[in-house]
Amino acid sequence: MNRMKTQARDILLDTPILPVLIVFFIWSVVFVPNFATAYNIKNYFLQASDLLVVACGLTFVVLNGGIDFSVTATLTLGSVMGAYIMAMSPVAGNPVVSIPLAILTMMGIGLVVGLINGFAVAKLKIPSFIATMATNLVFSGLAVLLCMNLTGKSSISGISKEFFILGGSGNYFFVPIAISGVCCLFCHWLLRSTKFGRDVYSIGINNVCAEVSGVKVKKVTVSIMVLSGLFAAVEGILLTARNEAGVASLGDKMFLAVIACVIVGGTSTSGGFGGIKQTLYGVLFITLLNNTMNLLQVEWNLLMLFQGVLILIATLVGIKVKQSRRLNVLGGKK
Amino acid sequence: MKVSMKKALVFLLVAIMCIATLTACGGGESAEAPGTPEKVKIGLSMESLESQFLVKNHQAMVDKAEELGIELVVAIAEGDPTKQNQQIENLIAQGCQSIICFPKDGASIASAVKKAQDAGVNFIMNNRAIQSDEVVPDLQVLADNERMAYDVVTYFGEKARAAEESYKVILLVGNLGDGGAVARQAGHKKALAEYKDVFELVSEIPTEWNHDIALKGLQNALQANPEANLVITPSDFLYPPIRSALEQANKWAKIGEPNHCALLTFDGDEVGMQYLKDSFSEANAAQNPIFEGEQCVEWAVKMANGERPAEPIIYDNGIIATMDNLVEVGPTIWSWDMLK
Repeated sequence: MNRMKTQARDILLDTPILPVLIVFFIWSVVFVPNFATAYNIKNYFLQASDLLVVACGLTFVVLNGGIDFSVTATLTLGSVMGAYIMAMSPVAGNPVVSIPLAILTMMGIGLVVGLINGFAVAKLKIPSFIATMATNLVFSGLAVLLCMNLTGKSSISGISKEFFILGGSGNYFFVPIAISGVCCLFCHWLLRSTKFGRDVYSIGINNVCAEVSGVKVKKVTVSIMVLSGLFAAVEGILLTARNEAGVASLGDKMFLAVIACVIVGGTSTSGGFGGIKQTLYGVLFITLLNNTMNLLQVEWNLLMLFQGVLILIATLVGIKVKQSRRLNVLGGKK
Repeated sequence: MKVSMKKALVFLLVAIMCIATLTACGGGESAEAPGTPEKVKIGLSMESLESQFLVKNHQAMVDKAEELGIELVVAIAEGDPTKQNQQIENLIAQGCQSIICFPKDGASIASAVKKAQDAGVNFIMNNRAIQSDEVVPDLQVLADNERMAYDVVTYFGEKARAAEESYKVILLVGNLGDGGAVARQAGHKKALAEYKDVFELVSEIPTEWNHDIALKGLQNALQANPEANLVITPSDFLYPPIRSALEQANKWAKIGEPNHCALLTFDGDEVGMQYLKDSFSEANAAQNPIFEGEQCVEWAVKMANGERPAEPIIYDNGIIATMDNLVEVGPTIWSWDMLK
């Protein structure tokens, strides 16, 4: 009995959203009309893949005790540049060249933004909150500027149809789901099975202790920001393919949903606790919430309110978890 | 073998998801196609409810649906094009027979139109045109944006020419992913070009339909061109930043006052019409969100019942309300009853 209590407590501390997700999913299957249909289940996983990749990248930053506001600008700028290459550049008519070139460009943008953020945070010691807010403004502004100057519009259509496969077009719905699944597994492996992952956690718990213990804090921090940029770029690729257009406002309203997934899943905003597993549950939960609330025709403002309250509760739970674990580590709790 | 409670829970979650997926895939007709509604079910996807025009248009559709006794399922995308596409997927899943969409972006909505049509759902564009060469919605109910924008500038051009006045113009532009905004820009510029003897375009400001961007852009334009004396806006929605920027530049004044900056606007909402009535602006190209909304719902129902429109686009011709004809046409404009 005691063992069960301990296990239940561990689950609530480690992945508080998991039991809620299970109950909510069962409830949705039983009570929400049109939820358990092939069409909707396909939508559900597709919609989860719209958030999962970028949320996985952001998890590294949050675990490190930081934040990356620029993920949405990265995916937006990538979307505009990628779409431009595929629809309007001199190689636009040749998908064999234009699609790989567009993907490489989008990934390159993620890499550059990540490096700038990493340099600003690790070398210049600018708080990630400020550094990434600045890069977010710069790159989202650049996305609008480029789009307007290159095309005279704020979105670019006419992309090669072959590229849409990456967004799950037609019978290829499994493609973005598989890509986001692979990204998720890779991140989980990176965090759980490599020295880099252990370093991320140790910096998140206490960066001074980590540095004293020989962790190369600056190098790890730069790597984390680069990873976040790269995964945002991958999400940009998936979303551009899904929307079948490069849109200069693609990420404008996305950040709340992405950070909600990370925090609601159980990753602590002050760093050190959580992981990809928690983010996956967070993504599944937030997507489920949006999907079922749409199916139940719940007012959109209530949905926003509910999401806000959930983030608040999850943050409070995260703080409690961190306190509880510190007490355990110090032997303050038996 | 002992299995921890956590592993059991994860296993349970995976099992439920697999069962739900398999049940859905193997569930016969209801699984293959979205649910079959008992009465006509129409989906409505609004990009947001950020302006009075959108609110009025939304309300007109809700009222019309109630009058016709149909079920209207509403989803608001909060200005996020990806979310709007997701919500349309959810509307299709609910078995809506027709979907009316006020899109955030005319290009990215094309994928949702395709999905709806693949699922046999009629798709109606509300107010904003699609920007795609490959996908054609079943119907588009649109304001005749280019002509209305052209008419409002032409009206003022004639007045200025007759009075032998000249104007330095700041032109605000909406979101260029919005076909309506592009058409309004084209209409405004066409008329400005035809009245070169009275109008000189000194600055063009892309606003992205964002108050903050519009405010900063207009402040900068007024700083760079202090002699500017005419602002043309593609929407009354942008009035708050316009008023704020003009006040800061000491140009917010009534017609006839020495520091008055002329204003030509679009939409005919409560704020725009109030300023026209109070002599702050010269003319307003008023759309009719009620007409557009009602047409969308009526046709959504007709199309759900198998009827097809004769033309792929129904135009709202709008009304050019001016300081000269306000008494006559004002009461015919949708926001008139809200004015003080």
